[in-house]
Amino acid sequence: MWVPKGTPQEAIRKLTAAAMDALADSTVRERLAGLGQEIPPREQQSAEALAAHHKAEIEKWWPLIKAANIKAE
Amino acid sequence: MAQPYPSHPITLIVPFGAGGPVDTLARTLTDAMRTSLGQAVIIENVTGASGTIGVGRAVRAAPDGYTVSIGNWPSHVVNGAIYALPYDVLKDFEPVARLPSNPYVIVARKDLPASNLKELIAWLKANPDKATQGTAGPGSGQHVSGVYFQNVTGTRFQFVPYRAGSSEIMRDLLSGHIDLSSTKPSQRFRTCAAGESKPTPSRPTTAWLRPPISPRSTRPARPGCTSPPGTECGSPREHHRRPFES
Repeated sequence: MWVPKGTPQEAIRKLTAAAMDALADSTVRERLAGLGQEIPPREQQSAEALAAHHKAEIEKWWPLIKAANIKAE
Repeated sequence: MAQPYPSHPITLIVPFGAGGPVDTLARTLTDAMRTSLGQAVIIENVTGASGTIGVGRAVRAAPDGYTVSIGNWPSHVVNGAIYALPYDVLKDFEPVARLPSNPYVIVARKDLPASNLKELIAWLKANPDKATQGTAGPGSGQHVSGVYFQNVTGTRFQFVPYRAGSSEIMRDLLSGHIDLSSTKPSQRFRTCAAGESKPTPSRPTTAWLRPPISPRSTRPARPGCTSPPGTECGSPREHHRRPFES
């Protein structure tokens, strides 16, 4: 979950807290698990965790995709 | 901010269609987020061009906390490598929260002569370039995860693009026109629950494959529909935690 660059930090903090609260809710967790969704551990749900994960994913996948010469139609 | 945030409803841009996995995740979360925020979170599905239209809309929204967006591995990782995008997913957004992920799984037609991942890899190696995997087109998540599977396993097979994507792929897989598909557990299990794959001596092969993490995490093969609809197939969770051991 993202917001555009320049969004006030107070808003980001509240959104992060709301998303993490939602992911801690037992009804939500049950529903997501039933859909085959894997919920990251709480310490991996933060904004910082997303930033690190996102960067790592791009560093991992872009070289692979480019090496395989995959192009969109 | 003049008024305490949030003072009015928030829009959540989903770059994919209503009813799909990302939309379902968004809807599940926004119902609960409303309680914390004290304001409604309204979903806007902005679809098209593999999610790039919706993400493009989100990046141009006013940075006031009232437009939030969500995405997945194709929209926020793969697209950047295959499209010339007018935005930078890392630099133009601020992260909010890391949400649950929905891993890809490899499924095979039910009469394919392999009942687990090792047997599938062996069969693919014995039949190089013969097997076919359906994808939603070049650069789709199914395609990229299929290429990854080939790289990790040292196998070769052909990709067959489907304009309509998953529903058509699953139809052709069930009727045996293609050999493999890389799909999402929720979709696979819906198919099982509908009773379209019947248990046979040669069972459908379901091998768990999760592209976003290391090759060693390639998921173990599981027989797909070995129980009546609604039992084993309806409960994907139990399949998730078994590490792949070669």
